[in-house]
Amino acid sequence: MKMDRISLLPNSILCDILSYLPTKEAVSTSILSSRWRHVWKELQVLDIDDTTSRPGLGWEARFASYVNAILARRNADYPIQKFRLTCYEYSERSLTILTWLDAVNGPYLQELYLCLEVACEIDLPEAILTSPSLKSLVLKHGEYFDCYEKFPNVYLPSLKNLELDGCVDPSKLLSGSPVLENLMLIVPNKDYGCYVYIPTIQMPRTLKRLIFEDNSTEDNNISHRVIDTPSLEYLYMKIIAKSKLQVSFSDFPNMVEAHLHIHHGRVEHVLWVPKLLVALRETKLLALKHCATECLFNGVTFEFPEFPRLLNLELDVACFNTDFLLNFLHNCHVLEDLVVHVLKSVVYCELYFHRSQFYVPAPPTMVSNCVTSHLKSFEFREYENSADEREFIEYLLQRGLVLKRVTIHLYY
Amino acid sequence: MSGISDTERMITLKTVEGTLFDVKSSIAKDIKTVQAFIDDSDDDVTSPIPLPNVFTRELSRILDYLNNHHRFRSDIEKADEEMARYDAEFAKSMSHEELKALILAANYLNVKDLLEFLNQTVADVIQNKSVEFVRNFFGIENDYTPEEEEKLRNENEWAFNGVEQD
Repeated sequence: MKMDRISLLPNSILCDILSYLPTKEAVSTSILSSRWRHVWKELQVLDIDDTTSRPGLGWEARFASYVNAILARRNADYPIQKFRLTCYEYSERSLTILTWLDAVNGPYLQELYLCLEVACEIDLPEAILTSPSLKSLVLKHGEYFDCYEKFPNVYLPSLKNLELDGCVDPSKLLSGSPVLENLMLIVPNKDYGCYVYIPTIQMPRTLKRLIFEDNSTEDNNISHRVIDTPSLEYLYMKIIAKSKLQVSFSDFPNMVEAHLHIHHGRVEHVLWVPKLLVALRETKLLALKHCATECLFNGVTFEFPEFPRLLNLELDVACFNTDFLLNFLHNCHVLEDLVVHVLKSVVYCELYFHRSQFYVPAPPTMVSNCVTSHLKSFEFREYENSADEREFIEYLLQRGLVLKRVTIHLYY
Repeated sequence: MSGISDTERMITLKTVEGTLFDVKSSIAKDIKTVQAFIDDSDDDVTSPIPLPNVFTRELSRILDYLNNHHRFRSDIEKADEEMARYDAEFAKSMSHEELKALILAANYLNVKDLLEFLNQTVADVIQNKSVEFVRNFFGIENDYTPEEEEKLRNENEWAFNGVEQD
């Protein structure tokens, strides 16, 4: 019979196309024609999701037998490289999921993504936690349950990417991943369904990208967070500073992009923030969100660090302070893009910080270099047209010789 | 004094229609079929390399793609962003027929990155579509008997729920 040209392509290409589809759809291509009947069996990327199968009585049993059928019928000569499993409603015993994990694990498994909300604890098989081939591991869970309780023995010598979202003590995973480069770590707070107190989190030294959201810090217990990662290029850190939080870090000479969201009640809890800013001085993008800028006004003389390579600066401030901005600008020699957001409509911080407490040194009288020769874009959010604000914009418009775009969002 | 020549060696490719394309040797490296031809030749390749399966239209698009990607890669600052924007435009500008023709050409020429990108584009087109849509899209003739098709559907019943709306 006459074959269409696409069907003449080798299975490897057809499988590559199918690997971008949910496995459910990939399997359904077996009905296209006899040429396609067995193609999906060579898939090395599986993406299985229970969300589309839910309606109808007994769907859980059907879902389980479907997954079993896929794993049983696929061609074992083509080992699984990526496995993605999302189960939100599946309440069968964890045993079934464990047999699936056993079936997909092997020396070629590179990526494992599990998003489970099952009412039972799952101990990941040790064979997976000691897999020599695994490059990416993502463990997420649904809203209420946490299923990854214990990590007895972890050694993942190839792991480059790790994403953890849940009440899990990450310590063993972090210390067992000697070449980790990307880490996303979300630690929930106490009000969450489950809670784990983590005294120390030590980031692996090899990290290049870190997304770290920590809501677990407490007033009564010491939380030590160690970011000794000199190769770091990207940092997103959201943390609630409590009295016994200790944050230590290395210098970050390769930093490109840093976002800091620091929530705090008392200024004594954030004395480490100015030092962090100094460690970040080589960054090209800096975003100080929510109360992070407040941490710089601590009553003690604050030396603004110089940012020799900073191109983009985004500042959230609780109230507009011209001296603060001018000081900052003066130390950003090549800044091209400035965003100032005055948080008028939202009170993010407990109001320990009154204007009178701001200590800002008087800015140098000369116009900073970046304003005259680098600043191209300026954005002001929640502009109220106060005398200070107006004066600052006038200053930029008069002296910004290369300024191309000014965007002002009014505050109502 | 050592002189570094900034004129890169050029390689000439010849399509089915006989159109000639001059390609920098650094670009030709990404076209594995062409590179294999060069590696197999004893002497420097001076005459045009014939590509008996590739039409002018496809080759010109493939070279566009490769040239642009090379350019993005040489400018590390915003490479990923620019590349993503370019790829999105590239995907949008193709008709279904062009997309299929490009896959065949990229497969023959063995241009790995482009082929992966095209496969992903195809997957985006056929995702959530009915069996009939996918058959039409690929130009597949259904050679199953109704009984066979019914049997297969029953076998993989779970997979067919919810995909047939359009």
